Amino acid sequence: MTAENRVPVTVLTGFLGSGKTTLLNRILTEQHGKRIAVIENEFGEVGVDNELVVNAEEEIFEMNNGCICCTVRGDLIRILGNLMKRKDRFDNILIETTGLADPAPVAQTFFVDDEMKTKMALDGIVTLVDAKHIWQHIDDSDEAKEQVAFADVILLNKIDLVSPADLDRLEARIHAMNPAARIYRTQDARIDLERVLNVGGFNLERALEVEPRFLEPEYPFEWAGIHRFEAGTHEFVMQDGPDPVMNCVLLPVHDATFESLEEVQMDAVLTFSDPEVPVQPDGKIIPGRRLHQLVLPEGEKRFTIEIPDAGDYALFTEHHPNEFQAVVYGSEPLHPPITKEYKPDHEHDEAVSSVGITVRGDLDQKKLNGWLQGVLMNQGPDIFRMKGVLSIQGDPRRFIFQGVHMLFDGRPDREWGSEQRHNSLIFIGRGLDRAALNEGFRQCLA
Amino acid sequence: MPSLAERSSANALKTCWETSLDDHVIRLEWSCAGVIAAACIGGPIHLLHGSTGITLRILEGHRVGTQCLSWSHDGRLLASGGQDSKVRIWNPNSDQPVRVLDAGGSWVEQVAFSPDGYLLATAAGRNLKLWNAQGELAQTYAPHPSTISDIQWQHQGLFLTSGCYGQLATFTPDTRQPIKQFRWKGSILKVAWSPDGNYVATGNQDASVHFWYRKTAKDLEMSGYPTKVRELSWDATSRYLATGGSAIVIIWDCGGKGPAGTRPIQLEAHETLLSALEYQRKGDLLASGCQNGLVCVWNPRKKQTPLGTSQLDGAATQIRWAPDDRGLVASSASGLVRTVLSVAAADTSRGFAA
Repeated sequence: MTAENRVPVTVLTGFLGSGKTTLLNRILTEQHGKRIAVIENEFGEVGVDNELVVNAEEEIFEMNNGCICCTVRGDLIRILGNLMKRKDRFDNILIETTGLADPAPVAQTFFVDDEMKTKMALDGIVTLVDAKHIWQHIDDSDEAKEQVAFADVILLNKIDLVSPADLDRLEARIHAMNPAARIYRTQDARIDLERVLNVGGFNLERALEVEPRFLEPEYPFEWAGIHRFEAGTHEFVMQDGPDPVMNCVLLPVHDATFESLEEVQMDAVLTFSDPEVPVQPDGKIIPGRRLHQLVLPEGEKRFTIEIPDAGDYALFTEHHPNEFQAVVYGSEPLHPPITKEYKPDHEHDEAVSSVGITVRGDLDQKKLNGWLQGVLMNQGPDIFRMKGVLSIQGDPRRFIFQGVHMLFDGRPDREWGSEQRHNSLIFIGRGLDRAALNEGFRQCLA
Repeated sequence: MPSLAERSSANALKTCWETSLDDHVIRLEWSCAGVIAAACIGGPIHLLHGSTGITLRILEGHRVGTQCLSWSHDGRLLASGGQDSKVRIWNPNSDQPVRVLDAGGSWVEQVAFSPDGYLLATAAGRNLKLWNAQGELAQTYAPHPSTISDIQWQHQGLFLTSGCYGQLATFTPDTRQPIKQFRWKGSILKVAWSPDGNYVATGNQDASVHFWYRKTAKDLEMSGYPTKVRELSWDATSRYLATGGSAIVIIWDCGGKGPAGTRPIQLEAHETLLSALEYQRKGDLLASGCQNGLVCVWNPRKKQTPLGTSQLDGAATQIRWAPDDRGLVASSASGLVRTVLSVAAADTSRGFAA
């Protein structure tokens, strides 16, 4: 059987009451022309005549060698092995897990067992989240965190029961835990089937087909804008915002282009790690490597931007200026011709988090293998998902990879061609050491 | 490029007859009276005349799917289990089942008449039950820790051994709890006692074969197989255990001090993973089948190339030697059922004894 006609498998996870059964019933009764086999958990209530529904009791097979990545679901191997022998073929297989199920053994079943992996291909893990009640679990339930961390698609369901503000807060929280997942807001689990069934979450070619920002590094600032300033003084006017202080840095640049902005980004990052210089309202913002900490009492605040030489300057701000309705004035309000938003460096107090690494340059294959082996051996049980694209020294092709725990699937892909060679990867897991992962990866550069 | 089998200049095994059932053949069992029962995964059970291949009867089997078959020792009753949670006992001369039993789980995956013919063991999910010849429930064993993957009778029906994830357990017909348990953190897929009862071997999900030596309860694990091991067969002398889990037939010599530290016999002709493996009932010959449909007959003690081969039209699913060992029946995933004469029998034209 070739890779193309393997039957795609979708795993549905989510706590009891999150809407899995509603979604399943929707999928089974909608007119979509697909023949779908459903493996229901033992408490399932789905019953539809024209589709095949098999009840399975979760049986976790751990191996004698203690390797957690060899842990598989014995019930699935037995049932799916039988289904695959039947004459009637299925377009999709859907596996519903119990609310407290660990998604890893389900996923691993399709990578570890030869019979499974030749006939079926894991397409995606879809996690339903009860937008109203998730708050009761997300802080203290490992299962809830793992289901979010493993997901390729997350449905924030029951949105009719929560306020838009709470929903935004929830989405931000979920996004911080798993920035690689696509998040949809649903009511009664209403979602276009294609967004759930053909996700390509474990398909190497499509592994990076997600929100482009997820692979960007995180920055200590959220925004930068390049202004063309005349010599003299300008004003930075701020209204009330979410914080009593805000850090900013002003750096000269060659011209008002994204390339120039990128050139000074690293200087800005370094400057943001310098000691803060407090600046009271009516105080001065001056260009160069100085981290201003603007002090923001209530009411309108004005700061003076002092420019010695006319030219282009990049202003990096800790928060988005919109949060403070902040505006730069010359003789009139100035609109920066170049602006960029950055993914903020969240406070990661989450047990489950993600580490994204983006670095230019080529990797030394040997060093990379050694490092990855070490990471997987020591932290494999804590790494839920990983994916990325790598630039290996001496190879004209991109190297793409994805993995679950210690299971690693990677190979060379198309040639880089005119695209700039770079390395982008993301780890999602429990208790990840951001600094160590970054440092370790940098050591692999040739 | 010629396959390994062709290069080894093996003879084509003489086909006696063949027929197509047009569905994956999941189980084949030969009755002592020379009738072949062939279960299709879709449900129907075909009863075929062993010498001629003529269809004697098609039993309805199990709606949704038939999983397993067992003939009684005298060939008068056939038990089947399926995905409808039922066990049916058939008289091969009738379309209707004699008895319908509730095995206590959603899929009935094992049925086995005891060799003396008095008892029928059934396994469905975690439940193991015994029935007498009248179809009355004789024993309900304590539920297993996980789904029972295989069962095997020993000593004419005095003992019954089951395998599942986490343990191998031996029962007598009289007690609800096992009389002996080998606990092991791994998933057992196949159980095979040596005919002399000294060893029990298991084929496992974690690509290993495990041996337990009955007298000392010592165990031994053979790992390093490329994939999970579902095919095990002892030769009649209890000296050799043939194992699958690979494209190479690996045979452990359990004579003398046992297989520990020895190099197994390795038979190479298949180019894909083995899917069926069976020693003759009394003789030395071994038959193997693989996923691309090649069936080989070997005499492993004498020659490490096949004596003969036969190519099926799809993955070999089952191989069973005839009651008189003169030939075998093999089936494929696309529904072919073919009998071939073994090499020794091929020079005669008598066919099988029925």
